[in-house]
Amino acid sequence: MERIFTRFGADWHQFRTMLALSIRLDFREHRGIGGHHRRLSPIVWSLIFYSIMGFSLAVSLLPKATLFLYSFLILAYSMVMIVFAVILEFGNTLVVPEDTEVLAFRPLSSRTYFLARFFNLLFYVLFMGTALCLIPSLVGMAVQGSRWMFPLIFFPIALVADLASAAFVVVVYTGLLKAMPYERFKDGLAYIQTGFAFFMFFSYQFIPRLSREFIQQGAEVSGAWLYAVPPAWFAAGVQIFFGQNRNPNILLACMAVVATGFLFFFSFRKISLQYAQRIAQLQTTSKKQDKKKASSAPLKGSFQNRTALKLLRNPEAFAGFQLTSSMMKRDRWVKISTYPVLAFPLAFLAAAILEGELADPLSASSFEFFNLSSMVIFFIFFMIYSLLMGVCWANDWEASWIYHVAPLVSPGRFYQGVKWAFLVRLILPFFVLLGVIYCTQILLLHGIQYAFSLFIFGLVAFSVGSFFVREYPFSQKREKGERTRQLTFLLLVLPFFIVTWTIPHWTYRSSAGWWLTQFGMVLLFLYLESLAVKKIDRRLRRKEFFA
Amino acid sequence: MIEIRNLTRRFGDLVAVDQITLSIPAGQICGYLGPNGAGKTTTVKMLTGMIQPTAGSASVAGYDVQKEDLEVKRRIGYVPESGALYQSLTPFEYLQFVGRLYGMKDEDIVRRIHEFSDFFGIRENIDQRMIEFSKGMKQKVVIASAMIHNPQVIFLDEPLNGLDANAALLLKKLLRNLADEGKTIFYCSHILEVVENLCDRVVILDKGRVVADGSVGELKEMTKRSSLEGVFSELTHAEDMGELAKAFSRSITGVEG
Repeated sequence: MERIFTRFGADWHQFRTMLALSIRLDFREHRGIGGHHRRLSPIVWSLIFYSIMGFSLAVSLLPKATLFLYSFLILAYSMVMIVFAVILEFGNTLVVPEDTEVLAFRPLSSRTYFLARFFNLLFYVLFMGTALCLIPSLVGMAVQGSRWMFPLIFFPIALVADLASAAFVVVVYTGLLKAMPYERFKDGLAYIQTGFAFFMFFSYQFIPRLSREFIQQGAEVSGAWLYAVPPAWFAAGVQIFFGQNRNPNILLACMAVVATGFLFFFSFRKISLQYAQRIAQLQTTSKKQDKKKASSAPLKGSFQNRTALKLLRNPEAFAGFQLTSSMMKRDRWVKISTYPVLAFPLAFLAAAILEGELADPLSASSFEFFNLSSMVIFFIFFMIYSLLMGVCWANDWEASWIYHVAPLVSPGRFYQGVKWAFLVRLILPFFVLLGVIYCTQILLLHGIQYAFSLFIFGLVAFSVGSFFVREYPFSQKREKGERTRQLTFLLLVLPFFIVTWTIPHWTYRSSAGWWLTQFGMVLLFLYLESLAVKKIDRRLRRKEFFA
Repeated sequence: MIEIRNLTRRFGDLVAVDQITLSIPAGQICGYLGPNGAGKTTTVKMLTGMIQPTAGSASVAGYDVQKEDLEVKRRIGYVPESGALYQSLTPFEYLQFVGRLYGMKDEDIVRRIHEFSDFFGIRENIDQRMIEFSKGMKQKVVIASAMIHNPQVIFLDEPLNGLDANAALLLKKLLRNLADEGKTIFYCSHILEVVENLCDRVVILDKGRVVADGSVGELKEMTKRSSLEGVFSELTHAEDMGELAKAFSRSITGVEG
């Protein structure tokens, strides 16, 4: 092994040490000072959640799916989840932020460094892939047309498919980095991530619908579209091992082999020291010059700030508002953990429009429980909780000592400022866009009313989400797997709120009834908000700071 | 101004601060020394309300740090060892943010920001994001943020980190003047020369306990040493540093002793 590494220009011992340390750190449980307050590593939590999701999906498909459909859907699901995990954790999987400070001056070649990092990423993907696909592999033995050997065939193929998905993200990112001017890429990373998340989630929308269609038809999956969908390529590979050697299967499986080879070759080639340095620099905040002259700048600033100051009144809340607004505009990590979240509801809407399924949720005639318009609420909850959960992270998390030293009377009020910043800078424009989309698709009045009621729902969701706030904003160090853990947890929990989908429909019996409901929801929001402030106060006021 | 009675903090089995009792009057600069892990930062964190004591009590500016922590926090300034701040912000924005957390009026915040930026010579950089700043410039902003609300007691943990010689001299003179005007300065450092020259009183901590408390002259007399360095080594039971260094350098270079 040593000789192979030397020939490749890398050092085997350094590689082994780095890789072993990275894996150990990934899985190490978190401990507080003095050994108390232990908790599992976020990666372990992600593995648990992924296993639950894999099991649920496998069991739900078991009664009706054919062998190909089963393989296809499990692969599609696991590949998308892997892509999401790598996108969300990109900064912590390929390059670790501390590496520059710890390793930059050590006698470590770029190839050794990146082999270690790349293999760490591969291990990460393999662990995730195992959690996602191991149980479905075993359950797959009971699918119609399957045999005992299914796990032995499906599981390795699934892992290769997952690795290819991760390599795809690496190739896309490094490709973009090469194609675009570096500064532009750096500043646009959050938007690129949002666009990518939109694209992936948009594509993902069609999978459950396709499966529903195929299960209803009871037919074998076929069609030219399969050539455009990578999970189908790998699923065809499973078919071939089961003796289904038809030409389409062979062609699809060949595409899987070629694509995997291509992705691995390019992901290895594209990773060089040049990219290492560049990607490492992405961890830092934008260095773009702020050109405004401001030593005499008015404190109240823009119209938004002046309005916020008037409405919030409380100076602590306004401090929270201004800090969050600035961080959202400038801190790359904050941008990356907030903007891509918008992609989920937007992609959902886009898919619904494309399929002509964006029915009027306020119309009695077109009402269905699984109406896509109604399901948008689900993604709004998801979006808002993701924002609240993601706001605790920042590059400069150590600066949060200030909350513990300053005489913060009410951390809850401070958080109101944080939420207000999200509301003004992100949520409100989003709901305006939502209103415009609905108005073009359904009755104008219904469009406005529905967007408005979704906004009120959003406010209530903000208040409910505040009950789960456990940390000061921008006060936590980002750990690998943390974001994935949170979002997977949300995906598992939110279906329990399924009943909320139908609320806008049931409340729309008469115009007066609708207005009354909205008024009631606003009152509920105000009440919950006051409770949330007290809850956050109790939770954060006496929180200790150990950094 | 600072009254500490049997202050203790445990982390599991580890006793980081062990029954410390101290009284620091207004107008005094108290140097707080100790080897790594002696409990200096833990003491400061308890006095600033960042962590809770396990036992004992303390009051700062006449208020109990546990029962009246907000009143304490209103009257103190703190410069942490990390010097961490939100680098995405400009110094103006950061100081404005801190000023608001202290409930200051906007006019006062602006005035103070201008005063501090002139004092530390960062007026030109007041609207640049701090990610571009050197460590010393960031440290100046942290120091400004600790004093912007005119605190009665100032806790400083290695405040000279990153400061150039002129800025360090300026800060030392500022601290002296503030003490002369009645403010209490609690100064943690490893730089013994600075403590020797600046502090009216020195408290030495070892393994969580106070092992010496007095003026530099008193401590020298007590230990019969001519420098604070010598006093420190003796009180913290450091071995003969010269011999230790010689032995270790031999082991690094491979020279047989």
